[in-house]
Amino acid sequence: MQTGIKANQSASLPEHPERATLEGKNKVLGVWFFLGGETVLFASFFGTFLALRDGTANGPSGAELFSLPLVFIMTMLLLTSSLTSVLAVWAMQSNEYRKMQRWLTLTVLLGFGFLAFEIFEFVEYAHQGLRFSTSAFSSAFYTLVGCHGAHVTFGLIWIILLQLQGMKKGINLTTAPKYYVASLYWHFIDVVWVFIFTVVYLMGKVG
Amino acid sequence: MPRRKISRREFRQLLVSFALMIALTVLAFYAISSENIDNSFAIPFVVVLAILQVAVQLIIFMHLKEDGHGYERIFISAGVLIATVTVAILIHTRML
Repeated sequence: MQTGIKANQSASLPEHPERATLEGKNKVLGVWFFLGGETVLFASFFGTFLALRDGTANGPSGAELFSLPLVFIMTMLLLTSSLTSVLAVWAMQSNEYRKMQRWLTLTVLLGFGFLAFEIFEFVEYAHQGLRFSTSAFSSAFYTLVGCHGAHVTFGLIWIILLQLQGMKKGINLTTAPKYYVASLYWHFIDVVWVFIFTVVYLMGKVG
Repeated sequence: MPRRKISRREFRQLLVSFALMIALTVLAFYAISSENIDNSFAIPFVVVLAILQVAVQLIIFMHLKEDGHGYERIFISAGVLIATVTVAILIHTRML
């Protein structure tokens, strides 16, 4: 193992710095509680979407609009960003600050890529006549997928702010739980997306 | 105490899980796009694939099965339980 210690690294970081303090443990626990609530929030949107998706009110339907190649690319971007955030947490746990920042940057870039495609997609749908108030389907669609997009946006701002704070504070027992829970939240965003691409896009494509 | 060292085993497990998630995604898109697969089969099939993929994400990427995650499991399971009931009831309203 490398013994040289760089300026902003502490030599005595434990194996799981995110759970080394009571505060850290409570943060992880709190975020899981929050994610349990988020699951119910998204379930309500999914249920509403499933109940209303046939109500197109002479407007365009999902089967007419959805482009599966686009959704596939978005899925790959988000899935890869989930992997890079695991690698960021591993770098954090190994006390490798620069490596962690690099993986976080890659995570953020992939997240922005996803968001760019989603904005492009929504603008395209609006041009084709699917606006928020067009039909029960369009409202349910934009609420569900848009709420997920808002979570992606919030996650990106969160991770960027942590990166900026990290430049000043590095990895220690106070900052480690923050990186860890942001990564948990980011994985959850991918979990929700798996159900969105399955229920909204794939099932929507075949009616 | 030593800083954490990522073992080759852990790294391999991560890459295998990632490859598995990509494979599940590709299979789901294929099942829907293909003309040869009947939709009455494809729809429940892709839902099962999604549940599998989410299980991999929760267990491998989010460490849900590791020691010291008892309350975390209770919290997320409670969320999933209420979520399932919510979705079931909302779908049921469509059939009324």
